Amino acid sequence: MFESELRQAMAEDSAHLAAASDLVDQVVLLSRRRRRTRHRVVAVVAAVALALAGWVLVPRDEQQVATTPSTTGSLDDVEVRHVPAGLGKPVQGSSGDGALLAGTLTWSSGDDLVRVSRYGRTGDPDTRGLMVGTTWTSIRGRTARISDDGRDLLWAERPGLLLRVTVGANHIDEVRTIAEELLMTDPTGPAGGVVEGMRVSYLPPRVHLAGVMKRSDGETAKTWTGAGDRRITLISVRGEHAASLDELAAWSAGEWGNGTRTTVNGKPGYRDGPGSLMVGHGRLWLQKPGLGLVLKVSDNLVPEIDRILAGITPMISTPGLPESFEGLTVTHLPPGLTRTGDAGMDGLGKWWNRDGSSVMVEVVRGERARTLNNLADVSWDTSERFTRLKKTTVGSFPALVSDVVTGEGGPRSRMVLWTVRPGYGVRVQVSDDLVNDLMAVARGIRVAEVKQRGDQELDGIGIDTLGMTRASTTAGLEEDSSVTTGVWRSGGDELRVEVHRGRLDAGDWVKDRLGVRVAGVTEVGPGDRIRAVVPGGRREVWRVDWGLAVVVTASRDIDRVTKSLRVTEVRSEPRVPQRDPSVKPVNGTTCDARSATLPPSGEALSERQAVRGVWFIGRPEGAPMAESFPLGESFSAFDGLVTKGRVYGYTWIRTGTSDRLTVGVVCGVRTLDGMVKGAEPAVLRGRPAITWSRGDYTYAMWLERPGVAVFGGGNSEEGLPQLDVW
Amino acid sequence: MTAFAEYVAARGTSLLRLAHLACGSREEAEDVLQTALERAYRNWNRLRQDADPEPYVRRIIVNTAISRARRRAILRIIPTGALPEVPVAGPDSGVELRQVLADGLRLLPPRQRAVVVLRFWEDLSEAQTAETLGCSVGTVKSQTAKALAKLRGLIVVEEVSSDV
Repeated sequence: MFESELRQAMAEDSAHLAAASDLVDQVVLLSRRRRRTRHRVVAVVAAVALALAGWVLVPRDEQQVATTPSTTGSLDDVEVRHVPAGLGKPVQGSSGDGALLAGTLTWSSGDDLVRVSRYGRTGDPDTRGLMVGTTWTSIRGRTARISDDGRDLLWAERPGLLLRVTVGANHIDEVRTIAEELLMTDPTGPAGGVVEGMRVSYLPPRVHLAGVMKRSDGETAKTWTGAGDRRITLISVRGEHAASLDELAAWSAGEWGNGTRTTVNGKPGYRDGPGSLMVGHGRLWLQKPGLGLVLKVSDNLVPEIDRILAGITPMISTPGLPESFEGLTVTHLPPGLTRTGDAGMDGLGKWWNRDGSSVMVEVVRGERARTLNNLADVSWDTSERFTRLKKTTVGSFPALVSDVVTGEGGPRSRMVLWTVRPGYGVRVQVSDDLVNDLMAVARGIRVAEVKQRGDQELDGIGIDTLGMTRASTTAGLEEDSSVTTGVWRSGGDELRVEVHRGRLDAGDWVKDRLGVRVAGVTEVGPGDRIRAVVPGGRREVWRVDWGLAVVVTASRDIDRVTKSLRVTEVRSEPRVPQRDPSVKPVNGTTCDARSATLPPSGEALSERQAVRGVWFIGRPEGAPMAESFPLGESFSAFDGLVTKGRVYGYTWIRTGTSDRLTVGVVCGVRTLDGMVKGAEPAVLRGRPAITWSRGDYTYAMWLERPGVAVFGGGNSEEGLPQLDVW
Repeated sequence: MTAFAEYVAARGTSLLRLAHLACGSREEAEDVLQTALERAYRNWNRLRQDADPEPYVRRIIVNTAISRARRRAILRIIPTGALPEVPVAGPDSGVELRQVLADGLRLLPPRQRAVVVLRFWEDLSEAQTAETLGCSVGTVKSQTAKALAKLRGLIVVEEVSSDV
């Protein structure tokens, strides 16, 4: 009776509820936001509760009415520079605990309160769940949450650092001012972040990011503003408008026409002059062909302009690269990204992230990656879809590429996918602002070859096979993983080893696949990441992370077999040219010719190949050739060639510039000695080579084998082309 | 429509009701549900295709509600230093009795509340409840007994007070 009343009570209490019609979309958006902006995930404690908590934590004797003005203060690396008058001195304290522990600085007087909290660490993003009745807003150029009563404001100042301003009812109008006036005395990273590969490492005090605007024609404008109409804008221009300084000046609609041509940051540019049409003050310069920059500042920041300029420098590369996982190596990413975590829709992947920009690289194994069409069947977040898959290539692999849209008109992204071999596919997805980098990222991915070296190896795993003879090796695909099975026999003994690779959720996979529960974990083999799961009987599972499982069944000495297991897979690292300090270094050239070649007919055979057998594996910057050097021409002779030989050469030309990159083969030569006038001897990857210059152009040539010499050259500031020959 | 979207479309309201009962406020319930579904969504592909996702999602909802309630309780203690208010409605009718029970449910500690909801709303067995909460069957039994005793006590007290 009581229980049925209780049931009825619960039914009545929840009868009025109905799930929101867009619940799925909310969940998907939430998921995406968390995944892509983990560092911005906001940990909040119920606004009113904490405001009150702060009140209570202030010792009673500190709550006296103070005289104006209030004393400012610092909390670790946060300087509080604006405090409403009449609040006296701050009291340092703390609130919360665990992941929500915050250092606090509190001013209070009577029923007045101003508090600044600094959360140094955030725990699981789930802490966001404590937030009730708050709305999204923007502060200091960052996404923030503000309580509905306007008294509590919280934002991620930078990854891992949350700041919060809480005020009493008297100071609601000042909560934003207090926040805007906070000064980070020890900022991490460049003050102004990164703009199109350029670090902005100095900004005058009291300016904050106001916004970033991107236009489809390759133009990005990042603006910082501050009190007193302080304003700084950095505009980057990519593409043909930045092909040369003249193009860049023309693009700016004559603003600089009467300015003074000068050197800016060591590059050709303009400064505003008495007759220039521009509003405010600024500089315009060509950072390199293809990238122009314009810096504009408000009148009151003119004295700072040289210091700001000096702080604008190119990013070198993304830290942490190359990164290897699941048999591939990521060698190129747009500058400034940092790895934020693991990801993947059907396989195992990694995310890199920066200010909402993101790159995902995913390895998919098993049936899902048997063919390109299988791979294109993505287990999307609910409302995502490809707009139109188009054929392309990544290296020598056929690939598909498409924009990805979300049903509710959310952000666009772009994905390219290809299968390296049946059962092993790669997907690369970038956010909308990085679509121009997508193919460069994809082409920078190297996939390790799985070589079988000797009898005691199976799919990259070395095994002590107890002296038995290999009877069979078979490979198969399961839904999300591949399995390679080897059987060894000797007399009446048999050893059977399965190597599973792919998306294996360790515990469940073991249980589902083997019908056993994981009983314990025992260390085997070298390396601290290696664990053996020993469920008993004759089966043993051994894994490195959750992308690999090895199942061993042996009629004898099973411990010896499992203890011998080791990873032998060849990790494909980016090739670094060998440099002999005694010879003239040749920038970034790797070569390896194998076959005689055929001449091109005028157009490159493909974006990466003009002379058959000689492949561009990229320029140092890694951008795709078609976008960077769209034009080309073939040639059959070159200046300075002394030895007779058939020349098959090809030159890519960057539109509107004198930049060129050349590759070629000379057939029928036996030695490099005296082959090219003015050439100096050198060594490339252990092979004899020569280098020479003609005007701005530098070349390198090596003898691949008797009869075949391969050469590359160019005058691009990024260095010589990286070549590979196969 | 994907399996996840279909599932949410079909079961969203039921899950929201569960979340509401487990945490006691609508606003909180929506937040809990969204958080729980997001977590489920992240791992959706790892659920076996033929498996019923409900136990999995239910487990996340209930445990999310419990952990949030605990954190909130800690925060509440600091500012007020006082016990939560006890509802004042008198059970003159069945409707009011059920209102008292619903309010009483909100006053239970989070884990006891979860046990009651799982046992008497979701109609799970003691073993299923234990599995959902990640505790022993014995704990479920004792928590259920305590929770029901508190709810009964509430009615008795109210009845007595209404007689006065």
